[in-house]
Amino acid sequence: MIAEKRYSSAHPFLILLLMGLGLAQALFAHLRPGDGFTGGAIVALALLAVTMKNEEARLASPVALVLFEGVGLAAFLVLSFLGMGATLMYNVLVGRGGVFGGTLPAGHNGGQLFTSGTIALFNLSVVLIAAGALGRMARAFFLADSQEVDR
Amino acid sequence: MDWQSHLPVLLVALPLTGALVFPFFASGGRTIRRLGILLSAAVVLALTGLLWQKVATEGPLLYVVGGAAWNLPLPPGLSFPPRIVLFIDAFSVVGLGGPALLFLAGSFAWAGETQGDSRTEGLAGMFYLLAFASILAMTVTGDLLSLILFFGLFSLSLAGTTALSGRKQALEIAFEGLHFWAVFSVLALFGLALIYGRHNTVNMSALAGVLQFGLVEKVALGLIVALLLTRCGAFPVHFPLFDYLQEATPSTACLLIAGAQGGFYSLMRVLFSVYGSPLGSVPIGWGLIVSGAFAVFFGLALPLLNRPLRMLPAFVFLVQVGTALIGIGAGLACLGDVRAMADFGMTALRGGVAQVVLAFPASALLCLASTSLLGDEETAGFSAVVRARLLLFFLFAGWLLAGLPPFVGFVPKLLLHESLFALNPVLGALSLAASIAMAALMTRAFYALSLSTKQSHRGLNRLPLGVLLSMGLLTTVFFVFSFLPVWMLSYVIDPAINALLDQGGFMMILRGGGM
Amino acid sequence: MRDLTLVAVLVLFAAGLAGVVFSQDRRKRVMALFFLQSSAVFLFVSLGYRQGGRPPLFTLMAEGGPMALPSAQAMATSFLILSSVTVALLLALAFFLPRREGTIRGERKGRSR
Repeated sequence: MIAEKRYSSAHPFLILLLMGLGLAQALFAHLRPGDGFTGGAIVALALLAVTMKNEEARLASPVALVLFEGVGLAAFLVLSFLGMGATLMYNVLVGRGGVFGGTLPAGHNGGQLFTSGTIALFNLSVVLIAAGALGRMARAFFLADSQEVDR
Repeated sequence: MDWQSHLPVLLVALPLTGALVFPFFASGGRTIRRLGILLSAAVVLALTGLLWQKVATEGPLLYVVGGAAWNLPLPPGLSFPPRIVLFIDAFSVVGLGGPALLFLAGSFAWAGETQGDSRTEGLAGMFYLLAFASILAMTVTGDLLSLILFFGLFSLSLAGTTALSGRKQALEIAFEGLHFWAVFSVLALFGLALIYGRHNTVNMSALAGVLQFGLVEKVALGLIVALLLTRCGAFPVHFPLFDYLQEATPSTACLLIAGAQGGFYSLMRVLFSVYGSPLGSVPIGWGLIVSGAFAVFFGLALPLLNRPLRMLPAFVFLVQVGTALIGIGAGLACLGDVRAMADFGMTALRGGVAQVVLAFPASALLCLASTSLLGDEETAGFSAVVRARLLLFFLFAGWLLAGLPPFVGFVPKLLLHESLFALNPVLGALSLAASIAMAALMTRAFYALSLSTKQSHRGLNRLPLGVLLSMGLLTTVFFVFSFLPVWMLSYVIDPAINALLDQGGFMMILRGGGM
Repeated sequence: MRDLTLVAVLVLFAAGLAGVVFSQDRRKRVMALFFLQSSAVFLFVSLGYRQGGRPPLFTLMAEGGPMALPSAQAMATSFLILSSVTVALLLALAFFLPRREGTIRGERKGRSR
């Protein structure tokens, strides 16, 4: 009977690439397909590749993931109630200048990254939530799977 | 702009926020968990009351989520609303009132049940709040996509709540029900894709204006109505709700019945407001009537022939669903014919809505009483004194459901009796026979419950406070309504039906009507 | 091009429906459900396609040529989230069920893998 399932390790470069891809999905979400959730899923995959390599990391309690979830959730709620002066989730930053508040030129254009106002911030907070939640979910499935092999 | 214009969105956002932060505070102890659930329910009930008052004085309310202003659904230059629009009229308020009441009743029961470890309880409370928040969201939303998506969220949290209840069959039933509902959601989404592909919008109000009743729309209607019928627990697709109800704890029973109430609301909204008068010429109203008649027949015949007492609430609820469907189907069948509508269709529709408003909470009361009477296998039963008190509640619920006059339960039955025979004499006979059979079933179940003495010696001497409060709340509400049946009809049911049948007003919302 | 995506939708839908209806194994039924949901996502994405359309980026004026619809993709992603969470919960239930019953299949005893 096999005592432990072996999970192959990923190259650090691949993990960095996955992280960057996930964040890019969220940041560019107003310009192309994809959103915070898909970005978060990719980040969760990267986290999984880190933690599944060795057993201690796999069995460690997922405090970091819970923290991700909590911070992301708090940011999401603050952002959505911030627009309450107009309506819930109103985009308060757009067109105001600053980092995310650029203004799009009129007419067709190729799209500009920093014009989305709170949309990018919403997507980043969703990345945190999704990475935390999906990471915990995948961890639970991995643990259930390895326990099944143990039996 | 005063804060009251934000009421529609607060009604959804506050319980949703409560659900999302609940697991983080759940480790703080039992009192915090109880307070969180009860506070959410109380806030929802208060907001519903405020909305009721606002709609009664100012007419239909509108809210554009994320828009520059709450009443600007169509930015200049667009012909379809790009954002999610929330919409509340007199009918929506009636659709919100029942779930809000059952939310508070179920929360009392939930607070009474809580004793497990903080992790499970945190998850269970989150699922519980999430389910109620999605019921409210499905009621106030103005577009079909969020209706279907929130239904997915609702079925998900329902399965979670059921799976965590710890009953013997709970996991299997949760799996089967969620799988069934998920398949139907996908089919409804295909129907929505058909509509979207043709009309480029999913907003209900915009759709009501542009919809032409062709083949595509018929197929889409069939798929979406099938999903809503699974949510109501209607006959051929009743079994997820039926099974869930058999394994339900008191709080989950309130949740399930509130969900079915919301399902009826969405069903009528799609049938009457979005599709409207063309449906009078197709046999969908008769389809609903036949489905309801089968539900009434099986729901009464099977338990009278003998079935376990544990299944009684599920069967009784099936009968209530069937009766409501018959009333609504009769109203729908008269939709194309102005004279028939005025003669008896309106009365049948009033009966159907009154059935959803009154008989569903009564079924929740029956569920609460009978699950407490039967108890779990693990827990000890109650002593004879407590059983006698529980039997009083059971008797009251049975009285309401059988439609016997002193209490308010007779209102929907009377309305249906006096209208259905005009549509078809067989239906009139069926509804009279169903009332009598329901009275017989209630009598029989009452004897079976009161004569069983097997647990009376080693019983608990006190009823849990939560269940008592929850049953007390429902009983009080029914007592109050029993004194005011006419007020109830003319100030609750009739405005709702007028708003429902006013399809022109529903189309005008986006054009600036109803401000 | 558009017709090809519709063919893909049909194939996914048929495979999913066959799995949902005919399969006995719970995990296989969940995966078949995921096929069904993916076909719906695919259908929504293909609904937004316009022949020779530009990316949906414009401010106030849309000049020159059709534009792919972004809202269809937004709908698809929101359903994607829901479907993945549903599938995760179903899988979790399917994983927990055999421990209580001894078998993953409803009727037959024995390991199903």
